[in-house]
Amino acid sequence: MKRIVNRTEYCVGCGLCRINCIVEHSRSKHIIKAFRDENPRPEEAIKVLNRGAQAMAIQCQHCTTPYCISTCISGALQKEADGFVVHHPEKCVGCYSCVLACPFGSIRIREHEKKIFKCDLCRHRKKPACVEGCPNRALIQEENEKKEKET
Amino acid sequence: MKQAPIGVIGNSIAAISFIETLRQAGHRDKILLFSKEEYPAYGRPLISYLLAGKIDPDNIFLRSPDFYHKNNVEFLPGEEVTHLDISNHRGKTRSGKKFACDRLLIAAGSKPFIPPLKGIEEASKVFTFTTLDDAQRIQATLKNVKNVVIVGAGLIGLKAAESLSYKNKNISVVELSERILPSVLDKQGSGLFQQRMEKDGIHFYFKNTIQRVKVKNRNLCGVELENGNSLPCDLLIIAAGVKPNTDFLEESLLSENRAISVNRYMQTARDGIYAAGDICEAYDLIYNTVRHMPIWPNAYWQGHFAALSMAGIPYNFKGHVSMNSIGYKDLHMMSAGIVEDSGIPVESIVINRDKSYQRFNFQDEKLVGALFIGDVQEKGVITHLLKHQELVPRLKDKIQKENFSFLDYPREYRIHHLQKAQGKK
Ligand SMILES: Cc1cc2nc3c(=O)[nH]c(=O)nc-3n(C[C@H](O)[C@H](O)[C@H](O)COP(=O)(O)OP(=O)(O)OC[C@H]3O[C@@H](n4cnc5c(N)ncnc54)[C@H](O)[C@@H]3O)c2cc1C
Repeated sequence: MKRIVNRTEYCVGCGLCRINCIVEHSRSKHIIKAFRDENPRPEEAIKVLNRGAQAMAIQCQHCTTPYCISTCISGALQKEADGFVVHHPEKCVGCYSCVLACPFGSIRIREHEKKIFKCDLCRHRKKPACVEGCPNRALIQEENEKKEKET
Repeated sequence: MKQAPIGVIGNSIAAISFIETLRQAGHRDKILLFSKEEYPAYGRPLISYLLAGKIDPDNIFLRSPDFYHKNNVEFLPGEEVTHLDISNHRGKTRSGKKFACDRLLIAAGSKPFIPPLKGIEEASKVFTFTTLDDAQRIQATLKNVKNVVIVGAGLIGLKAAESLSYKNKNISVVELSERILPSVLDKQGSGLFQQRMEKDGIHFYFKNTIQRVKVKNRNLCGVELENGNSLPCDLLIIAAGVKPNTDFLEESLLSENRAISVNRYMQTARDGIYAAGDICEAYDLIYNTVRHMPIWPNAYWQGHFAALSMAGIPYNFKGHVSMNSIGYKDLHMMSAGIVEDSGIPVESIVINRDKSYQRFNFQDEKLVGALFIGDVQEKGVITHLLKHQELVPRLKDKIQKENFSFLDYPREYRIHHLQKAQGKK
């Protein structure tokens, strides 16, 4: 499975990953429309954290043994055979148990929908939008050699 | 010789997680799955959303329709196991079907506790609220119902009240203790939830219980409370807690809590017999004791670990932490560990912000509990510390800040944890 690797030592906190993520998950896929016109604004699945000179971008890690799935009362979060942790919004009831369980804080609450939102690894694209937008290769895409079925 | 199939009794989250983990571990033996209920596995907590009309009935099922087939499971809906001979690994269902399985998972969950109530046998429209059938039966009577009384202000009672409030019923809640959700909220938190629910016209009767159910021509018409008050009532919902569903089991499997006793590998007292979920006990890491912890994530993990054990895969597990994420309409709360009234002395830090209320409970340099009301974004970053106490001395002050995040964790830990999550460690 292709994963996004967060190389924190290279992150300068510029936030381009986040902007790319928002545009990619907008209806218009257009930066100005996405930020100015779309209401509610499209959600970001990646968060840029800053503390003084330190920065890091973080999104759903598609954990090999995910805490979030263990708490999902509706079956909205499921792990697919290839290792992706997938969210099916039509099944989500907004209990937010997964938010309480994710140790990375990578599951966002969409208040207006009463559902959650998280990284889908841009499976519809060749390369995730955040990775593509990162000027510093702080986010890279990497094939995980180890077998994903390991627990 | 052909291997006998693995038997699974129960068809809810513990069973599903057991099946998924076993298959992921490469174990292909056939599974025979007995389910008292007629349905494919569904999200039990979703029955309140169904009753409220908030979800499409097809979306209540946890997995896709081909789940059983895909996983080489012979699914036997409606087959309740009524007898289990644990010495000979044999059993029988209510319909008379016999089976023999040398490897067995008991995951038959819990059932509602029903307090003795005078007059209840004769009354119609008295329901519990733990199954899809319960929700459908309640749904079918709703049209002629005006006054609802709910016994119990715990999680199930609160969710029942929420769904019936969406249906514009006149609701009263009768609760033995002095407040809402006493095990997962502190006093102030209970107060916030009570206020929110009272705003919707829900009435509460605390430190009280039902003395007698009033019936007219076999129809429920009211309830009489212990303090002498009477309430009109044409639908009574009993939500007074759950207990392990162990009636069909031999005493030798049970603890004094009437739950199945299991070791850390989810093995019962009998070789080859494992148990998981609401039917058994769990080790609580924070209380440092074994107890009945009937919550969803525990059932999931116990099913997961039972499968790893059966497949002979080693694992490390520190213990369970009780966690709850509960909403009443627009008010949401999350809590973990010891919140209040546990008898264990704690140092509490309470933070009231504009739209949020938080409480942290420490014991020496350990974080033993946390409660969040209102603002609940990203709180997993904090509750994770309940399982990683070694980090608490360094992070104790930081978690109280509004913008606490994963970046506040020590660098070496961050790197290790990210790699571990991605399966590189
Ligand atoms: C309304 C409601 C809301 C809830 N909300 C939450 C929540 O938000 N968060 C949370 O953590 N927990 C919640 N819970 C608790 C949660 O649903 C349980 O902890 C969880 O379902 C336990 O799963 P389990 O697999 O142990 O068994 P259960 O879900 O109890 O299911 C038991 C299974 O065994 C079958 N069975 C029973 N007896 C037999 C038999 N003799 N033979 C064959 N099959 C049998 C049943 O048909 C069923 O399939 C809620 C519960 C209810 C009722």
